[in-house]
Amino acid sequence: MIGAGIARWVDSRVRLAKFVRKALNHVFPDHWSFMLGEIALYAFVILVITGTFMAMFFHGSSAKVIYHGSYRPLDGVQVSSAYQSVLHLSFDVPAGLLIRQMHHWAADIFIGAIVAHLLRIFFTAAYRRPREINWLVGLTLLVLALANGYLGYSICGDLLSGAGLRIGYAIMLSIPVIGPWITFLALGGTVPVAATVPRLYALHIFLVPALITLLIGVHLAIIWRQLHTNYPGPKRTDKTIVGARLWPSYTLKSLGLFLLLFAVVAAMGGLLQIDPVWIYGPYNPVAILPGAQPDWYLGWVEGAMRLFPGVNLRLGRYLVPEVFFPGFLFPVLVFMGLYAWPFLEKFLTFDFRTHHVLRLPRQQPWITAFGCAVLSGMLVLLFAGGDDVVALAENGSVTQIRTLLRILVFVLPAVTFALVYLLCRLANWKYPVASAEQTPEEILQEESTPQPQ
Amino acid sequence: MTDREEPNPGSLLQIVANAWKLVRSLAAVAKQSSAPETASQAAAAESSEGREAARLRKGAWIVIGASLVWKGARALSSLRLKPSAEPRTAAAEPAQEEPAVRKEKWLMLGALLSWKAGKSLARSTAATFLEQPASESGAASAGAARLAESPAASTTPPAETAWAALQASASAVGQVVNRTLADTTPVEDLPGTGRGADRNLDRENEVNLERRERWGTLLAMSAALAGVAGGIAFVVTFWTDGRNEWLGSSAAVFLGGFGLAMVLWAHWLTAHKEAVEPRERVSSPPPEQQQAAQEFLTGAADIRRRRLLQWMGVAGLGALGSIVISLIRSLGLPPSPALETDVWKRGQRLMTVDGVPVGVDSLAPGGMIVVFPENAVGSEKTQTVLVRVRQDLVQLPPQRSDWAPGGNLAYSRICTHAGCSVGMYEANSHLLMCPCHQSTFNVLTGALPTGGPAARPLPQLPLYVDSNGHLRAADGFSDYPGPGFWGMPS
Repeated sequence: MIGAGIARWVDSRVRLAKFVRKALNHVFPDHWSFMLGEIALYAFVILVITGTFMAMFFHGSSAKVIYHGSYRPLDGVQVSSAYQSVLHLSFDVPAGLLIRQMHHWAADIFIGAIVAHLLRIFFTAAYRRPREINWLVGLTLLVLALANGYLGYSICGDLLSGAGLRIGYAIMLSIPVIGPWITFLALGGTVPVAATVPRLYALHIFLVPALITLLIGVHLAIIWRQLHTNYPGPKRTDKTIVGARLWPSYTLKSLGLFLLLFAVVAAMGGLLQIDPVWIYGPYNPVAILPGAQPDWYLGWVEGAMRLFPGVNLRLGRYLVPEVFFPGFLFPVLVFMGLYAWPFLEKFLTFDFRTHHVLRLPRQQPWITAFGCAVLSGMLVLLFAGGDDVVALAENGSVTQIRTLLRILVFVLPAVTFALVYLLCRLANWKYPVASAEQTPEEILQEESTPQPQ
Repeated sequence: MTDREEPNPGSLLQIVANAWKLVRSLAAVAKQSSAPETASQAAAAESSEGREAARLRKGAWIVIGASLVWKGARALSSLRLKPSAEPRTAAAEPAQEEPAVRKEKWLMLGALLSWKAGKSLARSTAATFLEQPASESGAASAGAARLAESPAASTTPPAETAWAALQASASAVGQVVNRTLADTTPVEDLPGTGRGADRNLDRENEVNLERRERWGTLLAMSAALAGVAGGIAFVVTFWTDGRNEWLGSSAAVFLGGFGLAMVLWAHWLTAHKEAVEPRERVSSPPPEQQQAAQEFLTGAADIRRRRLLQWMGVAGLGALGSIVISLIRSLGLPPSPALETDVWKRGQRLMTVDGVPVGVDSLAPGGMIVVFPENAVGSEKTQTVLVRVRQDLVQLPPQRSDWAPGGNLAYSRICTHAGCSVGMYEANSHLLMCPCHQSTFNVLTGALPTGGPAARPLPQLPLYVDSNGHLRAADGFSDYPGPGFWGMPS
């Protein structure tokens, strides 16, 4: 057989049989919530595929050109070269619009899956030793994904991306001491300047995806080394892993998942319009776009910027602008908290041991309640990110809605915390779960037995 | 486990079927109670035999109704969250189904149900003509059985016999389906198995191999065929119409068909064997660590001894750093002059975006327009908003008293909050509003922020009127336009 021949050829040069056997027999537990990370991985693959196609048509340039293309309403209008190429891709390249919309939807799914994956890890305490390291890698992946999402929709040269770019510029500029310097170095001057779009484009298609690819590799290698966690259940202990072998059932299912996700993205790209830049129109300083919102994953920052009171800080002759606190400090604090969480939790629970069996959310009422509280606050902020649209739809005033949201952003997390905590305790009391934790006797016994060499 | 009496009430279809049966039987009871009013039934009721039959029938319906109410209530109650952690015997209560098993059930339920319904219809039709009781399925409900056994049953109209038979077979279907699928159902919930536990894969081995082969092949093949059809549709669409909706949909069918085929294949046609393996300790054993450290330090001693080489290394790194810093420098201008350079100069005329100079009376009170300095029309940083209000409404501070000739007020159009264009003006309240974060600025008081997240007023442009009646800038902006930064002078 040809396959066997090739396998022998490769193996006689790099000696792979042992590794292949190990790979085929790798044990992976089967649970729907373990698919979230896989979805993120596959969404990234789709992003690379569709993105490569798009890069062959996109011009990363803000040079001014006059548009003459299939989209008649903009015929003869002065637009940026980037904007023109997006219109060309959308209207004149066969299946171009499909690929472009698939790319945008896949980006939204990518980040959504990462966030869902993060929540699953948080609420089941999968970040505990020895997986803190992968928590850090995963969070960095989230940061990179958010950054690349922003970069992606900022380079199209439409009115929405122009507004987003200026807000990003204002946030960057507001950083104390170094803000103006790093802004000018990164963006090439006061936005918009000709230098900005090529830089963002280079970052969007080269540096950030390369880093994401690298870190995905690290992420998977660590999972490979540490083996996956198990939910509590029979035979699931910190010393065993229970699941299915990678080959063939799991492999087939996983590849099937990839194709199904691809199918969903294709259907969305075909049927659901996203980022219609020709409706927003090209960026020009005179036009405005009421009801503008960033993509959903930056909505919480946008909401914080809207709710934060108009207070800036004068330090002698220096200024900390109001936009610094909600636009930069707040997200930085959120991510610092996330990065620190596994270590913080260790010192809160005094549990420094290795864990391979997950905790059910209700088995950790304080942590679950805290997580839900933060999440509810984030949802209020996300909602606040669209408060002008809500006000318009409900015929209310933005000021009133904003006052309400300013109260809600503190009250709702408190209520959520109490409610979730009580629910967890109630569930534990009603339906007790046998703890997967070792008893002190077992720990003593384990420590007294010599380690296998 | 495989032969339990109760149909599993957890299945949604069962609930629906039960509810439907309940409604029908209640309707039947209602019909029975008003039966004497119809002429033919009244005549039948006059004979003692007919009365007896009617009484039996009524009793049967009531029993059916009661049993169905009971079943429906049980089905509804089973929808609630049940304790899964408590140990219990299989005989005492039906086990909770796993989602995947339920999914399987759904797949087969449709097929089985239609087959059984057709079969029972045929049987009941035959029973009607042959005048034989139709409760051969052995799982008929008590009421239907009584009805069938009673001597009066032969006198009931064919339609009712058919209905009773249908009822009996409908309830039989539930049991048959349950029994057929019982070998895919988890045997029992082990104590300590939480709802969240990942799947115990060994259960799947109980699935009948033959049926797995048959169904799996059929389903995977159908999905793959759908995928092929989708692929063909994509190509045809691409070369003909090329519309985005059809391209996306056909691509989705193509990808989804093959994806589904793979999942079905994996699910039905591959061996599921639960594997339990020991976990290795993630950290190296201490001797290994010590050996590695020892070998590293032995080598490092060679480096540490050579001081000069170390310093050369440091110098090399320093040189690299300075090269990198120099290269970074070529990325951008220093912010200092660019950020702080003023954009308006004294004497510049105010121009519209079309390059038309603006006069003192170009705007009516309540009007708003975007203006630029005459040498930078359409530029980003110089964009300025000019509004006109009634002269007596202006409440500028004393040092700005002559900045608004004829009630013409000019402000930077770049929001001091996040740099968006302050493009909305509400003439009645004299408020400029930024569309991005809804900061509002009162044009009468020097564009002080009145709401929203902005903290600083929009810089004002002092104006004067030249001899031609055109508006000109009397000076630069009162502050630096645009969002704030560290070194921004107050």
